Amino acid sequence: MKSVYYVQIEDKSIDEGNNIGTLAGLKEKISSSLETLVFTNHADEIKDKYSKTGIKTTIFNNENYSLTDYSDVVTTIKNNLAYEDECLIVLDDSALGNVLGAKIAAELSLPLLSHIEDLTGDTLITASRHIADTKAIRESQLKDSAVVTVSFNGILNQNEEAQVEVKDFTVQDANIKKYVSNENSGNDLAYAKVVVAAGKGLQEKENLKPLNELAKKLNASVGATKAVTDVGWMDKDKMIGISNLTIKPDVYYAFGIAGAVQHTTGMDKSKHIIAVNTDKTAPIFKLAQYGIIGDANKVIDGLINLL
Amino acid sequence: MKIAVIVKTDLDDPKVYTTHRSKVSYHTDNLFLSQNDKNAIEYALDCVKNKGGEVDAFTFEKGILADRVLHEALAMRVNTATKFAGVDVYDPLQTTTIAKEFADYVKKNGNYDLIISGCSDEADPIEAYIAKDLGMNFIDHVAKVDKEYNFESNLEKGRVTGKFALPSVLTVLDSINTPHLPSFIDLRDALSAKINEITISSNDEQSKIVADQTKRKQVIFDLHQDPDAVQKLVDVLKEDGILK
Repeated sequence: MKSVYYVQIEDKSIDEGNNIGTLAGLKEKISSSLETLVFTNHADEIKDKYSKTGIKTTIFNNENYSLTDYSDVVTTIKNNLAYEDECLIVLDDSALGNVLGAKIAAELSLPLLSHIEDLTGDTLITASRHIADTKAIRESQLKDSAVVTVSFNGILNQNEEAQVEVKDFTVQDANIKKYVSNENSGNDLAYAKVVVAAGKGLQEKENLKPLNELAKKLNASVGATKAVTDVGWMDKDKMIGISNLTIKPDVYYAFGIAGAVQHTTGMDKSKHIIAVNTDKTAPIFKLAQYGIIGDANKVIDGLINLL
Repeated sequence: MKIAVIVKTDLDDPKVYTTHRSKVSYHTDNLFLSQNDKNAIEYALDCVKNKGGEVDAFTFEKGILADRVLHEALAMRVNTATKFAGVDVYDPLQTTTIAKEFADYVKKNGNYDLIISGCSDEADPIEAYIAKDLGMNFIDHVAKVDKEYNFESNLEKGRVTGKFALPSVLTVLDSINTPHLPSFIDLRDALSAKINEITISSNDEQSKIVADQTKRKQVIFDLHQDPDAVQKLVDVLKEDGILK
């Protein structure tokens, strides 16, 4: 594949459509030329963010643009990429990414491969994903251009400079559709790809400070068990479990959490679970793929030093 | 009013594919018409009930599964049932070919006002390509829709609202309505109803289905016995691509 384009949406009024974590993960996997294409209505405010990604970025800006203007994004991408051979157009595996991906693929008559779990290869890329909840994997070799939606994780080195170009683009959709936020849309925990969760095993509220520091390093949101929110260490809207939030991030770190079913019901669909607890018989270890038997506070300190 | 409903199964049975070493086996016993497609059929029937017209069901499923999902659609009282045989609708490398064949069929046999299908995580949205080929609007992930074509479409943290004009192509979720249960007489009649068949050919590029042979084991370190446990955890997470 000669070039890879990662599409991001940045609407100043709507908190959806962009994920630096996926960009970082993509950068790790792709050796071909990688460029980010951003569609926005506030280029001046986001230019700095993309200049530090280390990835060449083109920002298409129009102050009248809205996230709901799908056809304007599709038309612009078609005008810029229609004649490129062997290009991979990548979007986030999110509702918006999959909608836009389908429209872009249809417009350019390219195959769309959605919910892709892995991209391997260099000149010839193979996209793969599990079929439903089975142990069968569908592998598709991409001999020519294609559109994929992916969910990768990573942390960008925020000090790598990148060339950022801002261009105008035409908006015709004229906001014929409206966007309405969900009730819990302000809660970053509900949609986080990486979550760090605190249990009573952290022993005191003061120990949440290093946990928050670790969460920053991991680009993670912070949640907690009901035991933690009941004693007021954290707000109740951060409680993960049957009485509040059910989440399914890509990575879930459980520190000092025993694993009572009321909590695990809210996180057991996480892709990867890492548990730390002093009790080797704690139920959380039945769910976790990785873990440490030990003091959660010591492990948090250790991780902060190593990352 | 002419409405086409594209129906398929729900690949929600974890035993639909089983693996033994490198061999993959496919089992259709527990696969039936998808819930979202039942909702799509119900919406289509509601539309023609008010405005007059017909609902035609189509499927790209293979073999016995094609007949099964179409019989279920006929039991819900769609007017006709047609299967397009010879392709794998779940193979993303086939989607453009299948969509073009369907669009050509529609152009020859009279255009539809509405083409509707249930959302599926496993089948890539052939509907987007059909909409493009037929010059129709495409609205995805419709969570609410009424008879005046006002709709709500789900995103991650919110929803998009609007009104679509005919002709359009929609994919819908099960929140749009509650489908009726067919009567025993409808089920009986459906089993003996005619299913039309059209053979189409796939293109040369096809995906492979392989067995996941990754041995998943738990990796748990003990800090009491191994002072390097944290370093080892970080190393393993980096090796497995979870930490970058």
